Amino acid sequence: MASEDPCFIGSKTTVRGQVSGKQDVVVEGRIEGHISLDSHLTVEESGTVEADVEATVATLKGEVRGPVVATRSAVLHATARVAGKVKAPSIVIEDGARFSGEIEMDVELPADVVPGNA
Amino acid sequence: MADKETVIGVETRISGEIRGDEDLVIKGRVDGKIHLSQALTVDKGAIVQADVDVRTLVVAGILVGSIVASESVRLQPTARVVGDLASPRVMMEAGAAYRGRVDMGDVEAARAAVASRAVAKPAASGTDAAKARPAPPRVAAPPRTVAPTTKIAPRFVAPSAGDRPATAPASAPPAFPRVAGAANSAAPAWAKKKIRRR
Amino acid sequence: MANTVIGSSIVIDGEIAGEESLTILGTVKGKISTAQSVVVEAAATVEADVEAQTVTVGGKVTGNVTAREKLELRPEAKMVGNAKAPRIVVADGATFKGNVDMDV
Repeated sequence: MASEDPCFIGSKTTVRGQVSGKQDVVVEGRIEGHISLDSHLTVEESGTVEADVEATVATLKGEVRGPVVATRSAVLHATARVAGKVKAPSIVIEDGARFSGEIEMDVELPADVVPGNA
Repeated sequence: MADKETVIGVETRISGEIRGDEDLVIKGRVDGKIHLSQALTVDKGAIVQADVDVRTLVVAGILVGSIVASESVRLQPTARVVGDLASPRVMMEAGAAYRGRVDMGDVEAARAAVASRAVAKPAASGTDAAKARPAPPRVAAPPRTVAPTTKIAPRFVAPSAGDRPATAPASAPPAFPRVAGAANSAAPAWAKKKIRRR
Repeated sequence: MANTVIGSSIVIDGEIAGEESLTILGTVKGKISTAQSVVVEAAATVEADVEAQTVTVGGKVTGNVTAREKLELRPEAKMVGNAKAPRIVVADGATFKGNVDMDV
């Protein structure tokens, strides 16, 4: 990570617009718009993110609406409420997480198993 | 929890429809439809290409098809699953690979959607699939498989109970409604079925 | 009480609104408003109108600043814009270009 100083959006703060950067961001408040990080986005239980999200790792414990694309992994914790598309090479959904949307991961199937024939 | 358990062994391939009121563990290969009021486990190494409607689902192998689980779905690290999923509780462990839509809301609506899709699907695909398989043993004949690993309880309504050529049509109207008389899987039939299911 | 900190590599193009203190180390373009304080640290760049209870500028601010209580420009501050506050402190070294209105 580029910097050691934190980036923390407090529970009483709302950011509307584009947020981009190279350091970890922790959201307890609200972000609407676009988030593009070359780093770790954490949405805490009280956080709300309504945005297109791009990050290396997405740790979701709060409310997230909008496509989430993580280049490394996405974890939906038990308190997460997520809607929309989640795309990552590794996705973990914990018991209790609420999710409604599409999950996109590469799934390797044997040659004779083709989705759609079931 | 059901005290009986059916296991489809590693060397077994089933093509058709499986319905039952007990737990089912698949270690081999199943193509078609699975409809249980209990738990379905797809073991690591198993390949299931089927629309699945069960109470709980645990996947460690390959599952391709629509999934409806009235209680929960757990994808373990070796799971590879493609298909829409409807269940109030979904857990995906690190390493599991999944692609599809997840709906934790209206499980009944998802069930209806899967059934109406089954009706619309042309019979041809299922039949061809059945023919293409290199001599899959039909469910009713346990001797054909490695006997010790496959126990099929008589309670199971296996497709070969007269249905063999109709493998694909079996997935059409007669299949879903458990009640033989229910002719179509239109909404009214679903409403009735909702009560019987539990 | 949680405070918001906008990290040094973060660029926000939009609006920040809050009821708590904001510390800005990165870049904000747009609009900033809070019921508490805003601190613009040394390496930060703010191209926005700022509205807060107290505003402390240690970096670059281009925009109009309204502080209900006090505006302070630290020695490294470079501000271009209008300032409106009942109390204003400009440290030696700070550069400031704009109108000042202390009649609040």
